[in-house]
Amino acid sequence: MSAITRAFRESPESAPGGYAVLARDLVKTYGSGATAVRALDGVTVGFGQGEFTAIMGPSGSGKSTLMHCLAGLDAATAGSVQIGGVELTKLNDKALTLLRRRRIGFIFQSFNLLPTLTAEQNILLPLDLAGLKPPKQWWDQVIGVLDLGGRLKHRPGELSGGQQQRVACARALMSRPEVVFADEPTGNLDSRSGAEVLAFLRMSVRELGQTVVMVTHDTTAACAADRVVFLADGIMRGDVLSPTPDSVTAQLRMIRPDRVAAGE
Amino acid sequence: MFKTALANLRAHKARMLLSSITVLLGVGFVAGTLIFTASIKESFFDSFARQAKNVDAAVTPAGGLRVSSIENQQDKKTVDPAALDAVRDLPDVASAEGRVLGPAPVLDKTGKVVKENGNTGVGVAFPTDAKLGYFDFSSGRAPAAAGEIAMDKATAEDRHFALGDAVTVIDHGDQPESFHLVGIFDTSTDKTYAGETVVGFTTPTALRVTGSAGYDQIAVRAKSGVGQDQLVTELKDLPVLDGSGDTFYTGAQLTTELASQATGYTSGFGTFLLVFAIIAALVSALVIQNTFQILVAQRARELALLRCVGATRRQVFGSTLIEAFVFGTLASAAGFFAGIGLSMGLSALLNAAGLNMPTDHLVIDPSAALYSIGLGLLLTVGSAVLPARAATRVAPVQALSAQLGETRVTRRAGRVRVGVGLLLALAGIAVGYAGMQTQDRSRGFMVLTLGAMVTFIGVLALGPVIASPVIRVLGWLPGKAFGPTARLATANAGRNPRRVAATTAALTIGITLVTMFTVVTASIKASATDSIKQHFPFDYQVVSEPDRSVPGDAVAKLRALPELGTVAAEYDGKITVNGGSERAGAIDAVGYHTLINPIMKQGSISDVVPGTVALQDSRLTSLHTAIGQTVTVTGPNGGPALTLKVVASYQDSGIGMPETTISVADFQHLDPAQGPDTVSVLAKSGVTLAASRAAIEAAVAGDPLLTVNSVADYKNQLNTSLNQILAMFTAMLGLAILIALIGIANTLSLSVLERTRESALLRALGLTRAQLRRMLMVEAMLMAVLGVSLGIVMGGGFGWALVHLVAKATGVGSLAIPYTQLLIYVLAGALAGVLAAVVPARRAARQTVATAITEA
Ligand SMILES: Nc1ncnc2c1ncn2[C@@H]1O[C@H](COP(=O)(O)OP(=O)(O)O)[C@@H](O)[C@H]1O
Ligand SMILES: [Mg+2]
Repeated sequence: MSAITRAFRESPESAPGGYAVLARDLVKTYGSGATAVRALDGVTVGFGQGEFTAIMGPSGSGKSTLMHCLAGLDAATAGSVQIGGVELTKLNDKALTLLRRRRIGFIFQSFNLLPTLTAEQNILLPLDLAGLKPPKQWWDQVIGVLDLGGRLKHRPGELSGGQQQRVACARALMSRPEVVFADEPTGNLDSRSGAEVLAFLRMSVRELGQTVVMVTHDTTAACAADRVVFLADGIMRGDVLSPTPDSVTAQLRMIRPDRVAAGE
Repeated sequence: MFKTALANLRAHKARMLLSSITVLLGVGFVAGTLIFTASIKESFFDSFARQAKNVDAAVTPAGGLRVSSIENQQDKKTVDPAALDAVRDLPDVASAEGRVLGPAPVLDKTGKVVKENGNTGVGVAFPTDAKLGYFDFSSGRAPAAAGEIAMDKATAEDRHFALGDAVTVIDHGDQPESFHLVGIFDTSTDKTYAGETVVGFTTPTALRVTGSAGYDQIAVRAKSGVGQDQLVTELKDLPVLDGSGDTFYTGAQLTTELASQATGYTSGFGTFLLVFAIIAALVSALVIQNTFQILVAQRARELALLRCVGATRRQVFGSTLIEAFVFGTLASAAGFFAGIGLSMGLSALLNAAGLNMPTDHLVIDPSAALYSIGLGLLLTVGSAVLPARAATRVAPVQALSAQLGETRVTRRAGRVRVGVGLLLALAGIAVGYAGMQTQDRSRGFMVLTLGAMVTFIGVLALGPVIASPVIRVLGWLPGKAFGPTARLATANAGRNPRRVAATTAALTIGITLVTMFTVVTASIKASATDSIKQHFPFDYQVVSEPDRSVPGDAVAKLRALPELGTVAAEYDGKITVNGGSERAGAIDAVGYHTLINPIMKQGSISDVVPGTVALQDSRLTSLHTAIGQTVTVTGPNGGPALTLKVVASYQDSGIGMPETTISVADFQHLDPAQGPDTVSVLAKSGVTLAASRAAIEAAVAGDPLLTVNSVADYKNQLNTSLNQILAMFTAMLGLAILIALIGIANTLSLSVLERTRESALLRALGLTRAQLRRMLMVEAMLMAVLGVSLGIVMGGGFGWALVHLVAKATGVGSLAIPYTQLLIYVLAGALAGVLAAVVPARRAARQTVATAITEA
C-alpha cells in the first residue's frame, strides 16, 4: 500500500523522468447555481514521461472530464494543466488546437475515424493538418507493428471494430506526440481485439518511450498499465503502481465498495 | 399520431425554419404575381373605363374599338369628320365629341424633340363638353381656341414648362407651330399614356396638327330620358354613317369592350410573370422534398423506435404527412403575406426595367390567397410523400442498430436511375437535334423546347452519378489552395451524391435558364450588327421621327456634302401585289451593292429598275409567280396599277429586307405622297468618321425631327434594351436562385447537425475553428459551383441550339459565348455558396469539442 498515496506524498515536480502531463488543483464545474455539478474537485496529478497510466473510477466519477481537461478539449474552471511544460489554461482556442495537433494523440472509445477518409488518410490527418509528413521509417514501423499494411485503402465502414481501433492507434502515434490520451479504447472491442490494442499501447511505451494516459473501467485493461490512478466524485483517490487484478480491485472496493460489487 | 407530428415539428423548429423560408418565397412569388397582375388589370381597366365615362353611345371605324395607340398611324381608319356635326344635330344628343390621337412631336425649350422611351409626343383632342373628357387638370384649363395647348404634367415638370409659356409642336406638314400653354393635366391616372408625352388641342387643331383624316371615335352623351339602345339606332340611321362600315357601341357595350381590352393588355403579361413564379415554386418544392428526405433519414432511429413500440406503417406515414401539412399551411400562409409585399417589389422592378406597368392600389382578391396557399400546400404535402414512404420502410430493428445520421457514406446511385437518366438525356438530345433541323421555325422551337426539357430531366436524374466525379474535379483547385481542409470538404461534398444532387438541382434549374438567356442575348448582340454590316453597310442613316418623311431639301443638302461618298434615299410603304397587301421598299440605284446587299437566291438586286421587282423567296410561291413572270401592283390608295416583271429573289426575313423591292421611280408612281423614310450614307474614303458625322449633323441641324444614327448607335440602342431584358429575366429568376441557395444552406445545416461528432473529432485532432468553418464553406462552395456548372453547361447547350435554330431559319446569327459573364456566374455561385455556409459553419464552430465528442 506504499504507492497508494504517492500522488499526495511526493511533490509532482520531483518525478524522476519529469512529467509529460501535470495537473494541479484542477476544478471543473458544469452548469451553475443549484444544478451545478462539480465534476472535478481539485485534482492534482502527474503523468511521468514514458509511463503508461490508467485512470479508473466509478461511472460519473469524472474520468472523461479529467481527460478532456488534460488534453485541452475542454477548459477547466480552475487550476492548471501543463503538457511538456506548456501551460494549457493560458492558451486560446487556436493555440490549444495547434498543440493538440502536434503534441497529443487521441484514441476514443468509438467513432474514432472519419467515414469519408481511407484508413491511410485518417492516420495522416493530424500531420496533414500541420502540413507535415511522417518519416518513412516511422510510418513503416507503426503500420508494420499494427499490421495495417493491407487495410490502408479501406474506409472505416469496411473495417472491423478492432481494425478501426488499430487505425486510431496508428494515428495517435504517427505524430510522435508528447502524450497519447485514450478514453476507454477497448470499451467496444471483443477481448482478443482489446488485448491487441493494449499490447500495442504497452509496446509503444516500452519500446518507443511513448507516454500513454488511458481511461478504463476494465480491471484487466488497467493491469496493462504501469500505474493506475483512481478517481471518485471528482477527487483523486490514490494510485497503484505495477497493478495486479487484486490490488486494483481492492483499491476500487475501498473508494466505492457498493458500486464495484455491481461490476460498474 | 397527430401529437407526435406536432411534437416533431416543434422539436425541429430550427431545421424547419430555413425550409419554411423556401416555401414562403415560392408561394410569395406566386401570390405576388397574382396580386400584381390583378392590380395592373384593375388599374388599366380604371384607366380605360375613363373613356366610357358619361358616354351613352360611341362610333368607331370599321373593325371596332382599338385602345388608342400611336402605332399604325399610317393607314389607320377613321370616322368621317362630317359625321360629328350630323350627330350633334340629332335631337336626342346632349353633346358629342370627336376623339383624336396622332403624332405631335413637341420641342423642348432648347429646340430638341422631346422623347420618352424612344417615343415622340402624342396629340389628342380636348372636348368642349368637359363631361366627356378623361384627363384631370392639375392646373389651368382645357384648350378652347386654335392657338391653345395643354400638356401632361410629367413632361411639363421635366422640361420646365409653365402655364403661359409658348410650346412648339411640329405639325403633320413638318412645320413648327407655336401654341400658348393654358392647361397642365395628369396622365398618371391614365395607364395608356403613362410615360409618354401628351399634348392636347381643340378638336379641329388636333385633326390638323396630327394630320388625321377623321376621328378615332365619336363619343356621344344622350339627353336625359333617352335610352342607349335608342341612341345607337338613331346614330346608325344617320345617312352619313349608314353603310360606312363603322362600328357602334352603347355606353354599356363600350365599358365591357374596354374591360376586355384591359384584360388582353395585361393577361399575356400575367402569364409571363406566372411562368417565373412557377419556376420558383418548383424549385422550392425540390428544396422541401430534399429537406424532408434528410429529416426522415436523420430520424430513422426515432421512427424505428416508434415502430418498436407498436406504431403501424400507416401511422408513421400519416404522421410524416401531417407534419408536412401543418408545416405547409403555416409557411404558405406566411408566403401569401410576403406575396403582398413582393407584388410591390415586382412593380418597382418592372418600372425600373422600363416597362410601365403602374398600379394605383393593390387588388387582393380571395382567389389569389386560395391559389397560392393551395399551391404551397400541394407542394409541401406532395414533396413529403416520397420521404414519408421512405419513413415507413424503416425496420423496427433499426432502432437498435442504426448508425447515426450521415456517418454512413451512402451507396452509389441505382442502376435503374442511371439507365433511365441516360435514356432520357439521350432521347432529349435526339429530339432537340431533330428540332434544330426542322425548317419551320416555330415548330422547330417547340420540338427543341421539348427536347431540352427531357434532356434536363435526364441530367437531373443522372445528378447523383455526375455529382461525385465533378465534385472531385472541382475540389482539385481548392485542395491545392487550402490543403487538407479543402480535401476534407471535397470528401464531405461527395459523400452523399444523392443529397448533393438533389440540393444542387434547384440551383441548376435557375442557372440553366439564366445562362440560356445570357447566351442568346450575347449572340443577338454579336450578330445583330454583323447582319447590318454585311447586308446594310452604311456609315450613317438619317431618319425622321415619328414615321415622317425626310424632307427633300434635307436629302439634297446631304447629296451636296463633299465629305460623303454615297447618299441614297430609301422608301418604305405598303402596296398591293396581285391583290394582296405587301411591304415594299425602294432605294436609289446608287445604293445597290454599296448600301444594301441582300442574300440573293436568284438574280441581282441591281436588276431592280423601273418596270421590275425583286421578291422575297417565299413570296414567289405564295404569289404564284416566278422569275420572268409579271405581277400587278397598285399603290396604298388605289390609283393606276403597274405591271412589273419579277427579276430577282432574296432570302426571307431576318435581316430586315421587305417582301418586295421596287425601283424608286415605280414607288413614287404608286405612292406619290410618301417621301423617303431613311437616307443611308457612306462617307467618302479618306474622310474621318468624326468629320463626316459633323458635316451630316450640321446639314440636318435645322430640322429638329431628323436624327443621325451610326451602326454603333444602333448597336448601343439594341444593347441597352437587350441588357434591360436580360436584367429583368435574371431578376425574375433571381428569386428561384435565392431559394436554391437557401436549399444549400438548409442541407448544409442538417448535415452539420448530423456530423456533430465528426466535427468534434476533427477539432480534437487539430482542426482549428477557422479551419472547420472554412471546410464547411468550401463544401457549400463546391455544391454551389456544381449546380452552377451543370446549369451553365446545359443552358449553354440550349442557348446554342436556339441560336442555331434562328440562324438556320434566317441566315443570320452566330453563337457568341460570353465567357466573362459565365465565369462571373461561377464565381458568384461560389461566393453565394460561401455565404450560404456562414450560419451553419458558425453553429458548427461554436460547438465545444468535449461535449460533442462524448455525445452518443
Ligand atoms: N457536458 C456536461 N454537462 C453537465 N454535466 C456533465 C457534462 N459532462 C459530464 N457531466 C457530469 O460530470 C460528472 C463527470 O462526468 P464524466 O467525466 O463523464 O464521468 P466518467 O467519464 O467518469 O463516467 C458526471 O456527474 C456527469 O453527469
Ligand atoms: Mg466517461
